[in-house]
Amino acid sequence: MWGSTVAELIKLVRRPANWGLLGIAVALSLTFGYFIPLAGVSGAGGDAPNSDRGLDAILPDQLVGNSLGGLPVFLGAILLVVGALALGGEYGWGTWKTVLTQQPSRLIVLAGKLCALAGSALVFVLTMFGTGALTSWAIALAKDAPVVWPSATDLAAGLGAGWLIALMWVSLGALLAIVLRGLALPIGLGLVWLLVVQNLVISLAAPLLDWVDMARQGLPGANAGSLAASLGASGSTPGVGEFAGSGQATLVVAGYLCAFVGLGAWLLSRRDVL
Amino acid sequence: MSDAPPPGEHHAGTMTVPVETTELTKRYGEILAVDRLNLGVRPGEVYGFLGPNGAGKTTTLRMLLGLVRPTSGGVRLLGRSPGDLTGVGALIESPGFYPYLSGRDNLRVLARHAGVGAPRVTEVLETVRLTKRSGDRYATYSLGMKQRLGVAAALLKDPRLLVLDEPTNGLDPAGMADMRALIRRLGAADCTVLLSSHLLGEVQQVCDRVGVIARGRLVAENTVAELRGDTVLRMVAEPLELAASTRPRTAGGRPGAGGRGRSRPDGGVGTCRGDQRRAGDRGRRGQRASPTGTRPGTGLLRTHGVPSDRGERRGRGSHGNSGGS
Repeated sequence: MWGSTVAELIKLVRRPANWGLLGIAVALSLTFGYFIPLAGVSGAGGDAPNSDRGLDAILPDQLVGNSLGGLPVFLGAILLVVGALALGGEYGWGTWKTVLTQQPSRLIVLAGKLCALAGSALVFVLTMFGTGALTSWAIALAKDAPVVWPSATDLAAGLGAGWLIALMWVSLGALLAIVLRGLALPIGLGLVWLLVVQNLVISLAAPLLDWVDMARQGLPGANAGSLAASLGASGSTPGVGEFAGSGQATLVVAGYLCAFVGLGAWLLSRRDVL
Repeated sequence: MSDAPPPGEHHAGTMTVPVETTELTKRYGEILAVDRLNLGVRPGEVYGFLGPNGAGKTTTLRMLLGLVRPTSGGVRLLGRSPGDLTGVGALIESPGFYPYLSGRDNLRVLARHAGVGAPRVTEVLETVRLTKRSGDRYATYSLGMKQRLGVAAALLKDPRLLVLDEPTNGLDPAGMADMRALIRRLGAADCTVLLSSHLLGEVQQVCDRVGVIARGRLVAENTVAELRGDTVLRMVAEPLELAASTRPRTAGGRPGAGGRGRSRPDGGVGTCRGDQRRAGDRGRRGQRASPTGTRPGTGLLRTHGVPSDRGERRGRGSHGNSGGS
């Protein structure tokens, strides 16, 4: 399986689209996590979202929450695309047959892909933390604010939670690509769910209907938002909120991750490669 | 090529049977793509798997390689169960590679999957004469280069069995000639080749033995020369009664189809041997002429939709888009 993992890592690293997505993720994270609040502090934020958070919210001691805030929705959408690209591209280019005729079994190839995606998801989360740390440090210096970093425990918990959420979205993208045996439709449907349907359910329907409120507690996005909130993410960030306890949120997100991977593996091993 | 078969291989006598299918069947809903196919490829031969588009060739090859699950029946490659592709290289339909990687990097990725060292990548690139362009992105390759890269990928594992599905599809005449020469070279070495094609001329040029598939069934299996025997071929192509009633007589006044030949209701291969029939006809007529008035050597193959050499030349422009079955 190590050979397949290395092969998939080579493909992920050499694919320009992945670097483009990482760049977009960094830009989104810094813009909504730091630059707009900073503009609000300077009085230039207007009515932009997060512009009223104040200087304290973007200093280094808030690094964990700020780095996790985008994962339930916007960064999650980008990670879903990464997962769909990694699996869906194989269908689009007809490369499944090329790879599988080289000997490895389908499950070994899938395991290699998931390991490579897990590595890339960790790099993704580390990048969010790294760029956030750099930016908050620069802001603190510029504003003569104290530079106090989160504890190692908080950082580790934040990284772990961020990685877990990232893995869940990546595996959802991969699963959709396997189910729909393509690239465009999985990305389209995944984004519609993540950016539209889930937000409507969480923000609009749940406060009005009790049964939707109950169902919300089982949704992947709501639990990702709860996990992020429990580690300090701002409640004003889309998708972030205390819909469930941190323990339940962790279990549900991990459960979805296992379910997505298991279902994907089952389908891939059962279906014909056409 | 590897010398000794790995442990656990199934042997027929003292030789491992490279390809063996038993009553292999694949059904897609109402469509019977492959129908109780019994195929046997001998060690060291170049076996042509001949049939028109849609006959079931690609589906059969996909089942051999474990890409498609058979509805029923069995498959053994190099004596092993399906899914174990040790010693097997394959190119199925059009080659599929990652367009953002170079040809060499594509092969490196595949070599990682196969557990093959990097030097082998250089070797196979040289074998298919692609070394000069190996650093260019795959997306910039011509169709011929893509096909050659596909063959290079199939050769990565230094296979004892090579499965090639219409490897000359979309190639220009020079590219076809190059590809066929390469297949002949591989076949001359210690490698068994299973070559799928819908082109009679191609199979005739490179293969030792041919199996003809039509509507998912193996309708004939023999050497190319035998299969081109016109008398037996015409005889089995059309039942006597139908031929007598419908076919116009030729200029010589002969019946248009098969004369006394026995035929099977399903149009399959009969029991008469072509050379015996041919000898009889020649004796009666005192000349070497096709009893059916058609061009000699293409009867059965034409009947089952296999283009002749002439058809191949005419059809070259569209081969690049021909789909597999």
